[in-house]
Amino acid sequence: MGLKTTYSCLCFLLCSFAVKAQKTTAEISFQLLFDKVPLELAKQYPVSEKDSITIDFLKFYISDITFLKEGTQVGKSKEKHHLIDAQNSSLYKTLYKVKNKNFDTITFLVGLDSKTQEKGIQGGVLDPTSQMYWTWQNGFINFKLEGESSLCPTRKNKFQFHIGGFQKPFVTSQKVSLATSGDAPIVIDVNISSFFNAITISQTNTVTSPNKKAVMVSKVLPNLFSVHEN
Amino acid sequence: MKINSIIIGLSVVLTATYCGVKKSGLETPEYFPVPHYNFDNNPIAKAKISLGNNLFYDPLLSANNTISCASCHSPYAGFAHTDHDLSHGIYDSIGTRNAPPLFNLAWQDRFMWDGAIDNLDAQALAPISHATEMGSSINEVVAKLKAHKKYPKLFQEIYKDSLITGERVLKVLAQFQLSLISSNSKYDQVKKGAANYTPKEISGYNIYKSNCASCHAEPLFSTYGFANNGLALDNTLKDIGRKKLTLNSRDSLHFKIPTLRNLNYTFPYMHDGRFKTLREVLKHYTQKIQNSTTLSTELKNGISLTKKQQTDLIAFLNTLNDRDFVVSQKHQINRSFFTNTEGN
Repeated sequence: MGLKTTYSCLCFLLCSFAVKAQKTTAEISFQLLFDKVPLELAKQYPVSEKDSITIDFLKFYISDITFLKEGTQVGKSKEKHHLIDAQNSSLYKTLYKVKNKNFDTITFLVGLDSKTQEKGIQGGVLDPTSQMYWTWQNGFINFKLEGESSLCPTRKNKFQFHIGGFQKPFVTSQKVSLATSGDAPIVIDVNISSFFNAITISQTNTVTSPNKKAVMVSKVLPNLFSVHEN
Repeated sequence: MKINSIIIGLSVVLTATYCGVKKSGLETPEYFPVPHYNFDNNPIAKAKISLGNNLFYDPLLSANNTISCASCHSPYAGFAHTDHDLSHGIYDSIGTRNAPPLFNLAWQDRFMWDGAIDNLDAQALAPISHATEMGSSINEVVAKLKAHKKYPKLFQEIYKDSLITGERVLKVLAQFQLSLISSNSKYDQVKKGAANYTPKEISGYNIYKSNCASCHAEPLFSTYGFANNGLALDNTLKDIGRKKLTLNSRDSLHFKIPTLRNLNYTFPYMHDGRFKTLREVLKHYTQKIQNSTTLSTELKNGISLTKKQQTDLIAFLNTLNDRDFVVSQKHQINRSFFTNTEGN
């Protein structure tokens, strides 16, 4: 009996050690780019011979970064919510834990899940001083992009995208799924120029409330993300 | 066996009721329903209510330190803006809607006349940021509080660290507003068996029950839902109500159903304060309802009341005025906090 108990204990210890040993912590980064070069705020990016685009403000949420192996979850990022702010740096780094360093897919949400949205005022990166909570209605903005372009027939050529909305029919958080070889450290490119390739800003330049246009713009966002290839 | 089940059932109900009161930390009559507010996210504490009280009365929340929450939500007016059809804000600007009264907020699931905000904690962001209300921002408010002579100490005492965040500011403001409970009108005293209605009031109560109760349900005297009550569109404001938010034509001219409690203190009435007296309100319901596709079904055939019935109804509505609530010292400005503040 005594021997059996000791044996079981040993087994348990070995097992827990084995499980622990499988999990490793590594780094994943998001690199903000405009046409393959790190994004700089207030810089004029030429888009044709006579037109250019300038980004003044870019902030967005990324949630639930998850690592999958053949469709099964094998790891996730330490933090649930990430606020990527071009003002801080064009490179955002965070940590994740994964079993066996072995995964083939990374998924995440551009924006916040509806449960987080419904909870309302919260702290940390969700604090309302992050300038991502709407003041005149409920909810967080998932993706906020502002700037100027000679292409915009607006006052001072400004464009403003405050993409949010979590209640049907205007749900704007978008899931991204990227295939990867699974080698750490992982860098995800976020190419902002792709946004302007997909959206015709001479026509669509001011979207600041949850509506059909916001949903349309949000569907473009997953195309901005790709795994960086060396 | 049966008796046992009943006893177990009863204890479960009683425990749940007790926990409800204990959980919210607010004193509420037992005939009030379960609050909608999630107190787990913001547990009530006396020190937080008191800090929220200071913030509520502090004009620091506005861009030029002139407008406080209480500027448009005065305690003597049931925390509404008596005699102002539309609310007044910073730089003498005038808003587009009537400032609603603030009490029994824990039982409401949507705020603003169009229900744009469904979270009491988030609500204060709207007036703080609005160009014709306080014209500031939560970031500016947090920065001013950090530099203030008194507030950092108060936050430190409550949170045991010196961090002042947007979340904390909004949650203590919500705590003060949650503490505004109006439940001591004559109606409440009758409910508690401490008073009796006059025959006129009883007649009015019956008229209320058959004509008003479906939207202005007891004991809060509102379902806090949204409805089109047949008001003609004001062409100077062109306010289409909830449709502006949901973009759904079924919500056209829908506004939040206000409570009938404390009407004596909260005039003028309706989302744009167009009626100064209850007589005018009853004239609307009995003679002036505008038919439209979104008109509340209860009003499709209008409400028919004789002059005497209207008088009796008003007698009953007067039993919903809670004088204790509007004069209560605990909801008023903490003068000692402000008299000893220099500059800032």
